[in-house]
Amino acid sequence: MITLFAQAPALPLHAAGKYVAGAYIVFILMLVVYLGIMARRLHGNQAEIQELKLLLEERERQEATARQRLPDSEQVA
Amino acid sequence: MTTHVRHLRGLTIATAVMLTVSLALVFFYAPLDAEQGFIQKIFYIHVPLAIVSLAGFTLGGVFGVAYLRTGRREWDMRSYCAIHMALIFAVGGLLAGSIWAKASWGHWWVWSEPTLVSYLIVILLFCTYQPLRFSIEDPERQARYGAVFAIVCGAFVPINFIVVRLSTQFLHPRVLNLEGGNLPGSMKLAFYSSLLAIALLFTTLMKYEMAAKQTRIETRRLRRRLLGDDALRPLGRSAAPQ
Repeated sequence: MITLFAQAPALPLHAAGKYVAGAYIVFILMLVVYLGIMARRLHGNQAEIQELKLLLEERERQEATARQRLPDSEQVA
Repeated sequence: MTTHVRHLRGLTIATAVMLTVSLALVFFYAPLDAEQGFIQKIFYIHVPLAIVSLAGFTLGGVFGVAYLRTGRREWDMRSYCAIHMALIFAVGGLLAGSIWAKASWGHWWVWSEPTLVSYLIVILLFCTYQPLRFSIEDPERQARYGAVFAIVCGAFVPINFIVVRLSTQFLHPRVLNLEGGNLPGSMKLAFYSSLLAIALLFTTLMKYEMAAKQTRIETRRLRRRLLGDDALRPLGRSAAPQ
């Protein structure tokens, strides 16, 4: 890698460096903004799935309690 | 695992590697252009972005045809995501080209240049795709009208490209032609690797977009199954397939 960089031509950044950097920064910025939006959406989706998971667990707990109560009431009868 | 998510990890790694390799080739391997010097490095990002965005618009049309033929909603999703991503890439290509024009011609924009103006027309045309979809509430009609729009405008893209190519009065440089272009070998390698990297980036982001949308739809379906229709918040209008 070091040899590769040693052989690589020096970049004439003084001449048009700001334009070239500008073009590539615009591209990277767009990519970062897009990935940020995607990450936000993913976070929202994860929160919704978590909420559904909690609701499901709550429902399963209630059903289990109801099942436990049912044999008790049958014994009393 | 849905079809959208399959191969996503491999594709992401391939894209990251290819982007790194292409950037290294552009800046440390490809020689400086004799005429333009360092400014020419912008071409390695501008041209692939423009090519991939135009291909993306056309691909949206092809997916639109598949939707109309089969009536399967995943083709509508593909068409929507291809046009959505192509629009983002096109704006990137336009901005990069504009920066190059300022550095090379001294102007951000030249209205007398057919390549620039026709590209802008294509972008503006596809900017109306989302408002069109948004204006239609019924998902079935939205998908059908969206597909028709994608096909007509997708067909316009190559026609427009050929017409501009036939035009003789232009300032805009021609990087590629039927004889393979006028680039020397090392520049060609850097250019094609950039093109491949941007094409891979397009595919990866499109697949991520589809996976996100599909997950959203499936979460909603799950909520309905768990809690019934009353638990669903009203969807409201959306340009995206639902």
